[in-house]
Amino acid sequence: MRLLIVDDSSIMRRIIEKNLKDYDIEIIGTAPDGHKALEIVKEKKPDVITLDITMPGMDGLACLDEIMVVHPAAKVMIITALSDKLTGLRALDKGARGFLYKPVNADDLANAFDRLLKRNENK
Amino acid sequence: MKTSKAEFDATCSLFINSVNNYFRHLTEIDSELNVPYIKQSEGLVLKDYTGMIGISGNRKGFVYISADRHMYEDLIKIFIGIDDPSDEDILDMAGEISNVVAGNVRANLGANFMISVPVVFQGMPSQLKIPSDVSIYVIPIVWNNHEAYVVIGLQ
Amino acid sequence: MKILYDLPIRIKFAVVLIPLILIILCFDYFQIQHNYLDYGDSNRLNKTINLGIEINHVVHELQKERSIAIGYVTSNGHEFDEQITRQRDVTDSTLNRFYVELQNPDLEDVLVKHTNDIELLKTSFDEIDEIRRRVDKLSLDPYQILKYFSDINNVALNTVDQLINETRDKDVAQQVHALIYFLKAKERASIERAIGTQAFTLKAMDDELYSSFTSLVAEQNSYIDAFIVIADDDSRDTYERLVAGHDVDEVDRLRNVLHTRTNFEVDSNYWYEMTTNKINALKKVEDSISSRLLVTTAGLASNAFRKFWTFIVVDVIIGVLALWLMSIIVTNLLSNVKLLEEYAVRFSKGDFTRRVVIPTKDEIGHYAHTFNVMAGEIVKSHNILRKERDKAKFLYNNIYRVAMMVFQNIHQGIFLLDKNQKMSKLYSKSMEKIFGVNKIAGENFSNFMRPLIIPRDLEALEMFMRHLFNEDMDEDVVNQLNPIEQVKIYSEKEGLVTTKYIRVNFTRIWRKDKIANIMVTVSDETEAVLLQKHLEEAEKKKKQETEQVLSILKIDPSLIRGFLHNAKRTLRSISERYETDRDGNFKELLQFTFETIHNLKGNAVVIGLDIMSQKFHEVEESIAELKDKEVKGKDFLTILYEIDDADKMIDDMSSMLRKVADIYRKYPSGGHVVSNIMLIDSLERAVKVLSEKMEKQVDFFFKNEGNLVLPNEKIDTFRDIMVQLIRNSMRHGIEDKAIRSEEGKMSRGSITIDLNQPEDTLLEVTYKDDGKGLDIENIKKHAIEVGVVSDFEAEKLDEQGIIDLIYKEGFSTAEEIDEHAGRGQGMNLVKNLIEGMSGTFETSFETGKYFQLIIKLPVSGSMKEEPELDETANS
Repeated sequence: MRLLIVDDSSIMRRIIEKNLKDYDIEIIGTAPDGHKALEIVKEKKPDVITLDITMPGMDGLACLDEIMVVHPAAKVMIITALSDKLTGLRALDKGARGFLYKPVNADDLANAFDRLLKRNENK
Repeated sequence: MKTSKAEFDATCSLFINSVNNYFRHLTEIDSELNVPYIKQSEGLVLKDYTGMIGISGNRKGFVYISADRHMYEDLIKIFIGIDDPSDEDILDMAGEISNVVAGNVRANLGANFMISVPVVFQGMPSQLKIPSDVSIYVIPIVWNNHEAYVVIGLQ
Repeated sequence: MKILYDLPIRIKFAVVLIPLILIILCFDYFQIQHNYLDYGDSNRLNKTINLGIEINHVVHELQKERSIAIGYVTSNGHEFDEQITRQRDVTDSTLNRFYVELQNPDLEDVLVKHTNDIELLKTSFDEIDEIRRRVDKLSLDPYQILKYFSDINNVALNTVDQLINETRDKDVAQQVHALIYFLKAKERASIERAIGTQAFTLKAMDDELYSSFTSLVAEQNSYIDAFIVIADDDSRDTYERLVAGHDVDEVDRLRNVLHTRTNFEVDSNYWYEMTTNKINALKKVEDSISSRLLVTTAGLASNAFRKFWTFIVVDVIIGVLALWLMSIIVTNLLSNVKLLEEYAVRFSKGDFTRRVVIPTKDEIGHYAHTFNVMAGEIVKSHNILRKERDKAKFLYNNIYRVAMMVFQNIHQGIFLLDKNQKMSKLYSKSMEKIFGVNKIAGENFSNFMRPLIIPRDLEALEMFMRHLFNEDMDEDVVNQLNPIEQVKIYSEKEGLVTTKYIRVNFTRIWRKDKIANIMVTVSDETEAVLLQKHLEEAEKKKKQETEQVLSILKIDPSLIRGFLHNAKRTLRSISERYETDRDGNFKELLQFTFETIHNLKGNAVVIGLDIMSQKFHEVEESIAELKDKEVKGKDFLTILYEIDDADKMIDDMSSMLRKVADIYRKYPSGGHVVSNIMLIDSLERAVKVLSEKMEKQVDFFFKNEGNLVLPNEKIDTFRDIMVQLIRNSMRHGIEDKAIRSEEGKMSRGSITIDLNQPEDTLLEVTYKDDGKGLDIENIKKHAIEVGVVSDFEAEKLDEQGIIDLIYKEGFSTAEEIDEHAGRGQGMNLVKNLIEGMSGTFETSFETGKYFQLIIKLPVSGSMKEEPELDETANS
């Protein structure tokens, strides 16, 4: 499993990275905004993407649209502090498969990834 | 009169709990509340880095989450494990906390509250956007020997 | 047929039995009739035989007369002359007997059938006289005589034949025939006698006579043979016994002689005699047979008669017996059937308490037994059913009913959604209450929500529902995005738009790998919001109260302004103290807050500002609540809020005050003298208010002979001290009116405050009441009780030491907490305030007489009044 982390906050990117250190997943890149994220997606075709919604420039939802065009097999997990339901649902509509509210710790991430990747189905 | 007290309690609790939850959920260290006090806007003193969340809608006002650099450093150390974060990292961290708190509060306050995207600044700004006729509650929160303020000014 | 099947059992029995009885009766009737006929038959036969016997007698005599007549004619009247006459008499007498018999009334009905025969016979008998006359004249030849007599005899014998040959009894009929054969044989024998007599008389026999004779003998023999064949043993024996012997043999010998037609040397009389003897023997046989026939027929008649009655009696007995048995059996059978039926009905009505008792061992008895077994089985299965029913009831009560009750009473709305988002038929009752509609079952959920929520939420809901039913989408992920987890709904009811705050939760219900339904729960959270509104109204009302405060302000605005200014400053000092406090001694902070608020409350009471005193009382309450538990930083937020609230109230009142300030603008205020006058006024008011509340009449005296004026900065504190002391006196010092009267004191109590300035730098305030003074023992006891001093320490204290205890923190004899009395603060507060002004004090008392406190405060310079402000004093 290869993961791309997209978040405008470098702290957040690093937090996610660190929290997934013990999770069986390979982080192939991080991106601070939508444009950079798309470049990496096109180039490296990650299996899993964590995506923030509020980002400068191209926001998460727009980025999700583009990702689904170039790499529809990607499993996208939204990680956001924004608790607007409609936005979240729109993300699901556009093809996101997971959703997490900040703040997130290692357990939250692991559980969310388990669900996303259908690991530990007997939960 | 107790209504507004209940509402006041609820609103304060929302922010305090959100901050507490942030610390407890991510660091597994509980935070404690110190004795709060009331300030006038001219006498308000903030800490090194502050995230400001604006509130509009039925009630107008603001919530500041303010802490010293050391606390952010500690958080970054716990979260990422680096010892000497840059100023940018500190601002990022402060923004992240305010972001999460604001986002959480927004989910719980309901449609009558509009919550702005937090703005992070360092030190005391020359002018604070505080309505003159509100009581400002300064709630000191102690986490890991650091003091942070949750400053609430609501109509 | 069906009609037969449907008949009641009683009638069925009748249908079977009545024909049977009828058949039996018919049979018996025929039997009886038969016997009755036999009886009549035999009776008639008996009578005809009697008549026949008489005829036979006549025939017998006629036979003799014929022979005699032939002999007479043949001898041309020489012989048999005498005999003929005698014989005619005998014949006549038998004829007479016949006629006499014929007159017998018994024979009447018998003779009806034979009238013609009898008439013919009578005609024949009438011919006898003519024949005799011609015999006497000898104008008849023997053949004619033979013919005439024989004709008569034939008629007679035929008549007898007709009379007696009529019986239904076979044996009797046979014997009758035997008799007839015998009579015919006898007649032949008689003719033989006549022909023999003629032949022996003539000593010759022509061919004609001979042929008559031989055929006669042959006929006679064949009749005798026929008789012997059909006659019974008795008749035969009689015949063989009587028709034997010499005479009979002689007749046979002479017959053979005649047969030979050669020798006629036999006297005709001898022949006559011999044959007559034989014929008489035959006659005896005939009589014997006749008499036996008579006996037999009489026997038959009586037998038939007996049988007739026997049948009737037996019939009656059998009939009665049959009816009796039938009635018993039928009754028994029917009663059993009835019993069975009764129990069947009883069982059918569900009464299984009793069993059928039918002691008979017939089918019904067996059936009753089977019936009981059946009933037992029914009861058994009934019990099983009842158990099952109870079980079902239990299940119903404990599961279904509980579930339904939950559905009926749960405050949450609960229902299911199917794949098409249709709402389930079954939903909790609260749904209707929450949404105010009844049209829920079968509705499309999005359509249902459409009029209730804002379009943005509806759009989100539709999206959300789509994802919720998508098995590939994680339930938790989707539920995180529930747009109506908390939502405001608008519903219109009777033209009124109501707003509600509801919480909606969704849970997937899986069947195998598919989502079968979504369970939806809805809770109404409007109440909290409504409460808020309600409380907002309360706040409004409070504002109105503030307006009322204005009326108080009218009386003494400067006093209130001073109070408000002071109170605001004091409240701010609390927050300031919080900000600067870094010791983290929450208990001490709380105590400080409490004292400050308590003091403010006292001041509010003094100036009669009820609304503020109440507010501070509330603040005090919430602090008091915290006192007993471990105080946390967050708790101060509540206090802070209350303080802020009080502060806001002060601001409100200040602004109100400003509105009426114009009225007072003309009058300069705030001077020392004014303040002093207001002080006295407020103390007076305090005494007045308290005396009213406690129902104690107390006079207040303020002595200020030196016209001393307290400095402004000291007025508030001074007032606080005095108010505390007044409270204490009112509550503890001054006794009730009744007690005062008992003790011989003035019923009205008094409180006196005396101001003096013994030195330039010293203000002496003497506070005195005329109450009961201090109770040293009580104070000691109470102090130990509340833990102000230990038992051991208390024992060491002298009186002054004990008096000092009342100034300790936590000592308060007040049992009741209200805004007028202390909270264990009273004297402690006095002490703190005095010491806060660097003053000293001295307590004295006399039990039952007075309590006195002399306060010495340091002052600087003269305290004399400043004359230029004098005139404002009365404003």
